[in-house]
Amino acid sequence: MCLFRDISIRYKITLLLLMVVSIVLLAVSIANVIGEVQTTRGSLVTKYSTLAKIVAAQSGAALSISDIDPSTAQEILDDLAIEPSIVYAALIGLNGHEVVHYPSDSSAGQAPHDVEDLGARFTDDGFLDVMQEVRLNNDSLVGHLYLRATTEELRIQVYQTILIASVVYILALVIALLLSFTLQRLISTPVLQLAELTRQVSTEHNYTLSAEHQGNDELGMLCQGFNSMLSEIRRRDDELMQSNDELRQFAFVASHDLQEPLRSVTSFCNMLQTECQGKLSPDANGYLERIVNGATRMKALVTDLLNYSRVSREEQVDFERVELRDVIGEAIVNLQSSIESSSAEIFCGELPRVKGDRSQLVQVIQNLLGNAMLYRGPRPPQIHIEVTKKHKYVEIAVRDNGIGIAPEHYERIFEIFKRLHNRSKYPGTGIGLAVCRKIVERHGGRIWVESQPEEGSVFRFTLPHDSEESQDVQKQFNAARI
Amino acid sequence: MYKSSSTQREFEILLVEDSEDDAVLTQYAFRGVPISYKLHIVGDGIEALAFLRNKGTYGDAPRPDMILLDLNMPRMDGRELLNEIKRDEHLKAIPVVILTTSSADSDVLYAYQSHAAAYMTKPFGLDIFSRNIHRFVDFWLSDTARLPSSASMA
Repeated sequence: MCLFRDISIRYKITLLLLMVVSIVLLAVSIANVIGEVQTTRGSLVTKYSTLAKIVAAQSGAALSISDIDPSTAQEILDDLAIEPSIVYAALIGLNGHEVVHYPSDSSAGQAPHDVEDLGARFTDDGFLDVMQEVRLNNDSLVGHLYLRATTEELRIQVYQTILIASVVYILALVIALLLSFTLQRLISTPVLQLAELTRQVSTEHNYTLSAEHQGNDELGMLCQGFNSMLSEIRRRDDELMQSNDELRQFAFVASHDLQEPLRSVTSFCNMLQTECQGKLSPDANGYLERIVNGATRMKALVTDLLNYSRVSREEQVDFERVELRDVIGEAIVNLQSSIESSSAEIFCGELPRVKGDRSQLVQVIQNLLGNAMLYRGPRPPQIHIEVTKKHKYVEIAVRDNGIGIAPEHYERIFEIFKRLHNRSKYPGTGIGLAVCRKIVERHGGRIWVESQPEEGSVFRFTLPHDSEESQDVQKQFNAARI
Repeated sequence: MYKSSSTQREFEILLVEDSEDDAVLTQYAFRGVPISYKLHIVGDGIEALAFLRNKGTYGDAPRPDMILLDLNMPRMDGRELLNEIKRDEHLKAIPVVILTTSSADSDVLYAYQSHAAAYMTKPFGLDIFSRNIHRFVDFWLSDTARLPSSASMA
């Protein structure tokens, strides 16, 4: 049955019907042929036994006088010519010897010697033998009559029966095939529709579809069940989307409104610092400093959170074609002050065009470059941006010579608020890489890191390739020091 | 001559700001600007309209030379007030400068499309805010031609 496992249910049903029909027809045909053979044999036995009785009754007197005049007995036997299927007949005397035989020109002595074996019997070589007692006036036994008939009639009958059965079989099979093609639709059509629907739902993630099927059989129930499952999914989707929306709205509003009091805290501390210059103790000035630092840090957190919620709030849009060169250029401009203060050098290879959201890609590059400069080693940061073109996407690698990351943290660093270092050593909010991952995933790509402690890190991410990109727009940006 | 006489007159600036903190900070940031000015503060759009139209307690309010407008406020927010001012024949000549924390593109676009004169964001530190206000005063209120007074308009 494994053979048929992968074929369509449509063919399975057809095959099933055909198999059942042919097995039934075959059984009926065989039974029919056997029955026919039995009947025909029975009727042959009756026919020749009757004939033998008639001939025996006629030939009683003739056999009793056959010693003197065998011609009468011969005449009686010759009358058997009206039955062409009689191939041999003989009248046997009480001594067991054939007195006369038919046809008279055939060789004598074909009758069996065992005359006691009365009745009709089919021989192995395809004849019907009949042995019948011959009595004079129904009284004294005068001899035996032997008849041998061909069973040609039986053979013809069997052949005819087989022929008819075959014709019926083929006709019935054709009709069954036609019928099954029509009938299988009753079952297979809703099943196939349901299968197609399931495919659409799972590949296109379209949960607004529903199965159409009238009727209350199991298939109807299946369709109803499927529909109610879909509507349940839709309901949950709606709920989930709504609560997601609310959550994102909350994150956005909360982080937006959080900035206000923070600004007040910082600004009034500033005011206090200016107004009370020289009047406050060094301790008090230190406390003010700490308040401002705390508020500034919180401001960075809130801004990053705002960014994070903004990235997840944005709906999927049609991405535009973006020159990666412009993206990196913009990120570098935004980072100018940290590049200068850390004396970082950034090198770029050949930069293609990609598909994406320009400002978000700037953010990814900016975060990665910013990290490369922040988590620097003792040497001035040297950052290489390399792009490898793959079949359907481009892979962008940002390689630095910084402090590196141990393999056990490769995944963790992309989670929101996950930090590996003390804030006093390396400032940061723990949101930057989470934003990167969110943006890259929104672009259908992935982001990962390859690194060893003390040996620098390579952050790699993939972006969809701009398929319409032509070669001439790719300008060499080889080892351009920026 | 004309110019010098007009610069001697006090600049009437209307600050529409719901946050008392921000109002205090803005006042502080204005300290030391090289012009003579008077900063009037109202808490929302409704109050601002009363001030501009001399309604209620603002019967004697002067016509401002400049409006500094926060966008997010209760009752009538900055966007509504901006539209209201620009619809009013008598008020629409007054330059409205948006002063807000929001740096959202949509807000900037909306402000300029509604004929705001400029768009400033409130920075995080007081020093930067002060510097920005001074620059703003230098540009808008020192050498730039000043709006003729309401009396001369009428």
